[in-house]
Amino acid sequence: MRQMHIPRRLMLSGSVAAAVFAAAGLSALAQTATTAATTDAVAAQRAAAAAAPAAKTKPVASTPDMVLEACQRTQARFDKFQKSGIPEQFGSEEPFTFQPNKKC
Amino acid sequence: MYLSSKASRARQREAQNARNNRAEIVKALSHGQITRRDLYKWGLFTAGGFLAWKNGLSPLARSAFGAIPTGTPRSPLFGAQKFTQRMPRLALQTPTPLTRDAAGNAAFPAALGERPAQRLSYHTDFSANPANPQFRNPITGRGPIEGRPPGEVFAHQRWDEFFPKVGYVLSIGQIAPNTRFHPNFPAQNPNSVWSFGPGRFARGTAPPLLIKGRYGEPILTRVYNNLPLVREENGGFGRNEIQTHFHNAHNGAESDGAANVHHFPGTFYDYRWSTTLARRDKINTQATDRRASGPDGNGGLVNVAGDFRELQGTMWFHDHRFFFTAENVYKGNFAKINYYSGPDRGNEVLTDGVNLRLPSGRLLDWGNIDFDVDLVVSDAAFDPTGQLFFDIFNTDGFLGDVPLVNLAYAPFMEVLPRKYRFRILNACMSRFLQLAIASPANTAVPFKFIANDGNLVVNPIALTQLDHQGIAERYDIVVDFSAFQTGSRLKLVNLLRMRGDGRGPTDTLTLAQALAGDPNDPVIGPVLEFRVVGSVPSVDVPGVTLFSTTPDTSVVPAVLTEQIPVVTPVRTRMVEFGRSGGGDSRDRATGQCTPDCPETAVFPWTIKINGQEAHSMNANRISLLIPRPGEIEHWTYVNGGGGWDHPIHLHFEEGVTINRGSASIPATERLVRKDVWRLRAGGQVTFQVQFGEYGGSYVNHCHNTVHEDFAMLMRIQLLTGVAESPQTAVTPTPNPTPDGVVFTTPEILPEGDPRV
Repeated sequence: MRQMHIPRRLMLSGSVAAAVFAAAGLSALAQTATTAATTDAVAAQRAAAAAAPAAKTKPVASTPDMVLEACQRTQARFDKFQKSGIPEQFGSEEPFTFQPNKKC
Repeated sequence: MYLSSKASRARQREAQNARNNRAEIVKALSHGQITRRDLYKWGLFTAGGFLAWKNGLSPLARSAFGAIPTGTPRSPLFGAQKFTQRMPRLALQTPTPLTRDAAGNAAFPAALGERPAQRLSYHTDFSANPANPQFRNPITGRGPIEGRPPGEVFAHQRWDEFFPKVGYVLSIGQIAPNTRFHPNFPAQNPNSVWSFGPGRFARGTAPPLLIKGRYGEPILTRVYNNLPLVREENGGFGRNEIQTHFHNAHNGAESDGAANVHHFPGTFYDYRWSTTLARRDKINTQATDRRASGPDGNGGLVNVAGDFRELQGTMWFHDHRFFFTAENVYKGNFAKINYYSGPDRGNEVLTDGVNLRLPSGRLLDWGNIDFDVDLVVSDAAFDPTGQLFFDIFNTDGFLGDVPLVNLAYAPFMEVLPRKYRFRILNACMSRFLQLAIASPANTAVPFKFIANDGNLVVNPIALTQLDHQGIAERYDIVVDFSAFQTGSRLKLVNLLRMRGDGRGPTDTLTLAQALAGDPNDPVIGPVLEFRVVGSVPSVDVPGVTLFSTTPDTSVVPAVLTEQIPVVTPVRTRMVEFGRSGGGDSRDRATGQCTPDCPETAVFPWTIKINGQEAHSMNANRISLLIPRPGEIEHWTYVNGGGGWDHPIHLHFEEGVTINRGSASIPATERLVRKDVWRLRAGGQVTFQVQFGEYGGSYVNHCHNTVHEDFAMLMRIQLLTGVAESPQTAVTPTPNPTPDGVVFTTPEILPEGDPRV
C-alpha cells in the first residue's frame, strides 16, 4: 500500500487557504465576559467584585447520594471497559440506573 | 504506541512517514497555510475534532502490515547504553540577598543591573504611561516590560509581611549549545529544548535547576522570557508564552502562576514565593511553636506562625501556560525547589529536639544535599536526528520511550554504603511510574517512605515497592545501602506497564519481569543504577571528599509529624473528571478559547461540579468558589470515565486524604496530605481541605498534562484574602496580549458558588 503524502497536498491547498488564525496571539479576549473587556484594572476589579451570587437553582454542595451515584456510574463504565477493552469515547453517556442501597 | 524493537524496517518507515505527515500538518497550520476547516473538509479530522485514523497519518491507524497500530518509530539511541553516564545532580542556584529601598521595593545588588521588585507590577507603571520606554518591553518595543497584570488585584499580597529577603534572576531560553541527554546523543538544537538558566540573558541548561528555600526567608524570583519572538520557531512544539507555577507552595494567586497570566518574549514576571506556613492566621499565630520554623543559618531557628503539620518539603515549579503546558514542560520548562524547616532541616547531626536528622549531610547548617538527592524521572522521545520530539495531535497521553533521570538517559549514581534520602518526582507528561529498587541479586530492597507530595507522613512506612506515582507526584524515600559492599550495583526499576495510548496504567510487573524489560516499552525496567563506592565528592562543599568510613549519624525517627484530625466539614463538594458532555472551551460564535488555544485543539476532557453539566477549561469561568477562609470542606474527586486514570492536582492547598470510597487505600495515602491524587480507573478519593492566608484565582486540573491541555482544568476562586484586600471578592480575569493585559468579568457556575 502506498503511503499518503499529505503534506504536499496540504501545502498546495494551503497556498490558497485563508490564514484565519495566523494572528491567534491577539485573540485572547474572554468569550463569556458579562462586561466589556477593559484595560482599566480598577474598573474591572469593581465589576468582578460586584458579581452577585447566582440564583441557587443548582446544588452548591454534594450529598452522599450524589457521590454514590457518580461512583456507581463510573463503576458501570469501568466494568464495561473491562469487558470490552474499549475505553469510553468522547461524549458517550450510557443509560444508567442508580441503586441507592447499593454500596460503591 | 512505540513499535517493538523487533519491528521490520518497512514498518518503522511507515510509522516515521506518519509522524512526518503529522509534523507537516502542524507546520502548515502554524504558518497559516491551511486552516482547521480545511482539515475537516479533507477528512483528516473527524467530527469530534480528532485526527482521522488514516494509514500514513495516525499512529493508531491500522498498519499496512496487518491489523495492528501503525505505532511510532522507536527513538534512536546512537549506540548509547544504559548506565554509561554519571547522573547529574540538579544545578543548585545561589540566592542573591535583597534589600528594602526607600520606596519599599526589594532591591537586587547593583552589580546585577536589575530594577527593584515592586509590590505593584511594572505593568501598572506602563499602563499609567505607555509612552515611557522605561516600562515597555525592551525587545519588541510593544507592551509592558512585566507580565504581571496591573493594579491591586495582582499586587503581591501581604508584601510587607513577607518582604522578600533573597532573590533569583532566571530566564527561560533556548537550550545552551552542546547540551545532550547522553554523550552519544547529538546536541539538541536551540529550539528543541527550552529550559531555565540562571541570569537575565541565560540560555537554558540541563540538568534542571534546584533552589533551596527555607521558612522565614521569602523569595523573589524574576523569570525572564528569552524565547524566540516568532511563535513558529519552536522546533515543532512549544509556545513562547509562559507562566510559572510553583507546585505547590502557599503563595498568593499573583505568584501561583496559573491565573491566566502568561507573558511574552522580552518580558519578565516577578514571583514572590512567600514561604508562608499555612494556617498562620488560625493556628500558632504568635509563632511560639518551635516546630513551625525555618533554619537561621547558625544552628538556630526562626519561628514562623502557622501549623507545623503543614510544613512542606519537596516541590517543583514548571510552566502552566494554559493549553500548552504539556508541550512547554516536556520541552524543559521546569525546575525543583525544596523547602527546609526546623524539623526537616537538611542536617543530620544538629540535635535540638526539633530537627528530625533525616539523611542529608552535615557540612552545611541546613539544606545539605550530599545524602539528600533529587531524582527527576521522566520519559522522552526523539526524532530520527536525535532531536526532542512531541506529538501535539495526541489528546490521550504522550509516552516517551527513553527513560531520563535528571534529564540524563538512564545514568548511574555513586553512593556510599549508608542511608540516602531520595526525593522522586514523576516529571513525565502522561506516564505513571511504579518504582522499586533491585539488589545485586535482583531481589527487592526494602526502604522507608517518609513524605508524599512534600508532606511528611506521621510514621515512616516500610515498603519494598512504591505505589503508582502519577505525574507531578513526589515521593520521598530513605534507602539504606549499608548492607551492600563496595562494588555492589543496584537498580531503580520501573514496574508499571501503561496503556499504549497513554491514558493510564495497566498492570504492575514483578521485579524479575521488569528487569527483563519489555520490547514494546523501553521505559519499563531499570532507569538508574546505584554503585556503592568507598568515597564520593561532596556536593555541599566542593573539594571535600566523603568516605564510607565516616559513621552515618542520620536517623529516620518513628514519628515525623502529627496527624491533622478529620472533622465534620462546613460543606462537601463533588468534582467529576471525565469525558462526558462536550468540550466547551471554544466560544461557539468566534471559535476562540480563553486564553487562545491551538487551531488543532479539541476538548474531550471535561469536569462536572456536583453532578451538573460538564465543562472544559475556560479561564474566564469560575467552577468553584471558596467564600471564606478557614472553612473546612470535604471534596470528593470522582473518575467519571472507565478505562483511564487521572492524577488530579489542586493548587495552593493540600488535602488530608480520607478515603477512596469502599476501595482500599494504601498506607502512603491514608490520612496523608497530598496535592495530587490519582483517581484510579473507575475510582474516587475524598479529602479534607481548607483555604486561607491568600486569595484570588487558582485552578485544579488533571496533571496528565495532555489531558490538562485538552482541557481538563477548572478555575477556583478564593475569596480568602486578608480583610479589605481585593482577594476577598471575585477578581477579574486577566487576558494577556503582547500589548498588555485586558480584563474581563468572569462567569461563575452556580453549582460552584455556595454564597447566599
